[in-house]
Amino acid sequence: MDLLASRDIAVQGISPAYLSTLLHMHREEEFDGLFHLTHQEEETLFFLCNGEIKLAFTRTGAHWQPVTGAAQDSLLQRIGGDLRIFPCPSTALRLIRLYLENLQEIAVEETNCPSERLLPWIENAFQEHGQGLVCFRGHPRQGLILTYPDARNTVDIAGWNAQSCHTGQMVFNMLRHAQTPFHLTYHPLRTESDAWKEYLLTRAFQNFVQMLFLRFRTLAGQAMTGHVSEQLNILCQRQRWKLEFREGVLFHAHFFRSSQEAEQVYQKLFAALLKSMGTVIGEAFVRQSMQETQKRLAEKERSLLSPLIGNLLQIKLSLEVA
Amino acid sequence: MPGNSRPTLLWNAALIAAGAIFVSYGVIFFFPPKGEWKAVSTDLFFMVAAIWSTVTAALLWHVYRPDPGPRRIWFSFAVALGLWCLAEAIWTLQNVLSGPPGLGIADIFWVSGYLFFGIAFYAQYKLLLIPPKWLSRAVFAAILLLSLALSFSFAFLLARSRGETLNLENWLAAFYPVGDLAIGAGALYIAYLFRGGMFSRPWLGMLLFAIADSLYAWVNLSQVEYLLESGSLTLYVADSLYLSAYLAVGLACFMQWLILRYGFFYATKS
Repeated sequence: MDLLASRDIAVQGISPAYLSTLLHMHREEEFDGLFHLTHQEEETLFFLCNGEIKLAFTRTGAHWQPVTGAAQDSLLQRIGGDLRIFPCPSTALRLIRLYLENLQEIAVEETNCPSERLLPWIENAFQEHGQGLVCFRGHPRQGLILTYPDARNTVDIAGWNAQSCHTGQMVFNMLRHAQTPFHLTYHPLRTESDAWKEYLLTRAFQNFVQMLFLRFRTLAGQAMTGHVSEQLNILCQRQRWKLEFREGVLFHAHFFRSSQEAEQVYQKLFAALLKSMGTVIGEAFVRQSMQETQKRLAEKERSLLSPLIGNLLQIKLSLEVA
Repeated sequence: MPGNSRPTLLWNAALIAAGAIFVSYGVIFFFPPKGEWKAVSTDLFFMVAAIWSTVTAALLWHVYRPDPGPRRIWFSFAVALGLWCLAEAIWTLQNVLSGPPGLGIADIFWVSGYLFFGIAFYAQYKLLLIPPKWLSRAVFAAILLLSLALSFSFAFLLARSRGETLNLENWLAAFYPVGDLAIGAGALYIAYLFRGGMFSRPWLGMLLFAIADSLYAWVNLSQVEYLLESGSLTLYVADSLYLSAYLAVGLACFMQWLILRYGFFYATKS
């Protein structure tokens, strides 16, 4: 299924030099989204951008392979073709990466699914094949839905048409009222993939931060929460992370190249959280709150975050032993 | 924000003023003015310091209005300091008019102040540890009953040692150290939980009150004359501790207010 069939071609027969210029221009504008290049020799390329090119994928047969480093530079120098430009938020980028890394297998397919049967179909596929990614294509909208069996039983969704890309509940509402049937494919997730690890890690971090700030807000109040958020924003701006804290609520617009990169960033943010909140309520109490928050996370999320918070909490333990 | 000049200026001014009050008090204590001003001069320092701490606690309560948890704490805290401030004013007035007063109206405000500090501690304890309702109520009732039982026992012992029957004066003389003990223990506990954070500072100030009051209680109960003489070093230590407790609570509340109002105006390590 062509992921960007609903998007118009922006530039036909683009040369490598012009492509390079276009990429440079978009980097200057802090572009978030996707470049999709169809080469004359049926070779297709995806560039996932979040300010700069974060990841590139090329198709070999039915599979998508990440292209990195020198191979990516060499492709950019020699490849031209038809270009589609697709601005989209980091949530959509994350789903697209999951899709590209999990496309090998299609568990179930439905070619003519009316809108009222869409949700039951997803539910059914989830029950039969476990966690997975649904790719839907209708007219004029297409997109991706990730089923996520956590305690809150939430799902992540991104949908787009020729003009725009949306995420969240709004897309569901649009799908519910769609007049035309959908073409659906269900792709089971490879839980060992790095895209999935990064996705889970980001989700865990967001949940953790939300809970920790909720606790902090009850103790220190709204204004102090705002000031701590400002402190964290200074760090994020300095490091050019597309993360913003607004009165303790995290707006996550950063797309990571890999789960390791995400781990490094989150580890630094945990340390900054400890420092900023510690200035107000004392680092010992922040550590205690972090431990309590960790316990309230789902087990998968807890196991991902533990190594990152572990160092911060171990300082306390070693001090207590001493 | 680091580099914000207005709060830095205000903070430096507050620090200098507090330092000046503390040093001047020492000078006046050891070199008191002659005549009528002798009694009032030292008392005025306590009045100014009490007003300062009350105003800063009230400012803190005002800025915490949208937050139910902190609002409850700082409301009770400000009311308690306000009651003590009134008590200081009444005591000063009586002292100027007719010499050091005995049991009187000022004590009503001092005792009520303890009650409101108790409420502030209770609110902070609930917010910090989120205990089940029954447990928090049980803890509050236990501390109240223990304080009453201890104060009555001490009062009884005191009355017996003086060859008197148990009366209000004896009970008050026993209540103040017990109240201070309760406040000191509570302040120490909360300051320990918040250790290293700016939220521990007002409670550390309260701990100073407890130490100063314990010193007063010891001096009064011991009835050793050279300790009670005006100009004695022990009295100066107790007085200056008491004064610094007001100043420290005021500074801690003021710092918190400045940060709430202007953000982190001093550079923090990150």
